[in-house]
Amino acid sequence: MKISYARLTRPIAFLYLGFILMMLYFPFIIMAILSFQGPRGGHTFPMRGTSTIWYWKLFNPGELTEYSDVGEFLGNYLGALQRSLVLAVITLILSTVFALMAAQAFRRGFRGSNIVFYVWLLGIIVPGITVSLGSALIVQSLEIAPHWLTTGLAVHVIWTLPFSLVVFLMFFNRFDTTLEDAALTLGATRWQTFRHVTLPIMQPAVLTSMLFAFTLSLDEFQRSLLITGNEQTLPIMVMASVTTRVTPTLYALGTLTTLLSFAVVAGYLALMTASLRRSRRMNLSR
Amino acid sequence: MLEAARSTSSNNGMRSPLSARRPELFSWLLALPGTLWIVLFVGVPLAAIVMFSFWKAGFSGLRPEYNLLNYQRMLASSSFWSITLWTYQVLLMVLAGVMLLAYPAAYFIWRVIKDERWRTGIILLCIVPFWTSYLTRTITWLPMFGREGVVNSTLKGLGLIDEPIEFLLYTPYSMMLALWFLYIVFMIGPLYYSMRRIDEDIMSAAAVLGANPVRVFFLVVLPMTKPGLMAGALFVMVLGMGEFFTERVIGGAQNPMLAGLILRQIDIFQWARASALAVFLTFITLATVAIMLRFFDLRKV
Repeated sequence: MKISYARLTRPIAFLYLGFILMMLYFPFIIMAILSFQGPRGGHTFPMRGTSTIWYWKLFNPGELTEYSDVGEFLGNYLGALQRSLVLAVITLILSTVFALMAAQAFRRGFRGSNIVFYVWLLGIIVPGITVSLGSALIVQSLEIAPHWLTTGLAVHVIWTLPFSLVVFLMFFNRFDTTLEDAALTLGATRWQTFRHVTLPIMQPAVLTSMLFAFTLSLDEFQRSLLITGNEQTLPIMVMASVTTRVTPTLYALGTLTTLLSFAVVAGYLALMTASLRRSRRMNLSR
Repeated sequence: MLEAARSTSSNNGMRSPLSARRPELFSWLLALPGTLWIVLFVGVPLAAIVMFSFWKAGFSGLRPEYNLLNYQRMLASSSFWSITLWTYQVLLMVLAGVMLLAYPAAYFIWRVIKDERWRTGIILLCIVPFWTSYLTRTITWLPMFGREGVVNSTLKGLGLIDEPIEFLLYTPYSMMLALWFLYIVFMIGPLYYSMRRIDEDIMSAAAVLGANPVRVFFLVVLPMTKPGLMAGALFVMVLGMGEFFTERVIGGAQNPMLAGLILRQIDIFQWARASALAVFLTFITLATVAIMLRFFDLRKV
């Protein structure tokens, strides 16, 4: 009885996991295939020949060709991508620094820390459209010109801050303070202790916070929808083009940005492995 | 996640020299910049939108004449109530589907795969889509549906259907299917994390004491993975409440949820009405989170 049970579960388990992974990654593959759609083809199957015209259009926005179409979306995606990357880097720095500072405070505990924690969570919980509309109406009535680097940055950071904080809190939850205490007892200043003991141990959490802040910012559209100004970020531009008309250019863009995301995750994993290996060698982690 | 954070903030029993030396004021200063940022850029817009929702819609924007008209209109509209109901219907369906799909996956990775490297690899593969673009992931579902979409072609190729299924393009069905696999990444991770924290000894103890695998599952594993289910459920509900993109792109823009309704009001410059709706959406989102946190005490496990 027991043997047949085990014999049955394993294949079922692997089939099921295969199914889930297929549903997660198959759409990406379809998109990548359709990004090589022929010049007269549409955004769904069947393929009408193959071409790299959609990638060409992506890199040469607004240039008319014999394949240009009426009502085609002609936004400069790569310019938008550039803005989004700048924004994501600034966001990851602010988010990680602020959250690390706050996590240090939470670790120590202070009066009202519970309330402050829930206030931080509002960054995720309050629906993006509410934040966006509220900010847009304020900006409008104060007659400030919205810009991706000012009003855009403000709402990008509120979205990533709670994620960064939770990453640090989870890490501090199983944090051994012995080394910090030893450093302090041996006469190191608080700053020296933080710089040379706490921060190196915290490296994996810092990396994780940076990954979350970067990737979440790169994709932010709900909060910044109404307040990025004339120069759009990539997600806002994608939103705009999808609501007009979907062309395989979007698939070409999606394929490239997905590869970029995979590269970022791979870089993160490499740094993480190196960091964990080093801390194991120094016997810092239990 | 909450549970982890809460226990940190309340875990002051062990006082290290670090905390003994530092005054509380310093902690406050450390938490200040981020807290200020959130208060300024979430709190103020939130307060503003509550204010604007009582203003009057004029020709050129909003006029500061306080009245209840926006709310009266909203509450009197039958489509508003049906859309609210629809929002919850969709979210509960998404939540149920995501839980049912994610639980076996996390469980199999935890119990069936023995090699630690494979385990890490597969759970990573399940989480990586979280770090790619949500917009892109939604768009990738477009070619899956439709008369000649991948789903129909596959079913046809397998000989399961003769005629393409019509309801698979721009309908609530296609939206639901897409949402399940878009949101599943929020559930598998927390679930697996909570499973990993279950002590093997408890499982063996239950088995030794005569519990069969089914009983072990329902009496030990399921209760102990509640925090993971909860964390995932919070993610699904909170992000689902703000959902308007998938509904527009995959759902065919015919059956908006509340966030989509707000966006449509903004599109036609009805800021006063949009504000009232946004206040309502925010209120029910906060209420839903509060109820979920009340129902399951995250600090217990």
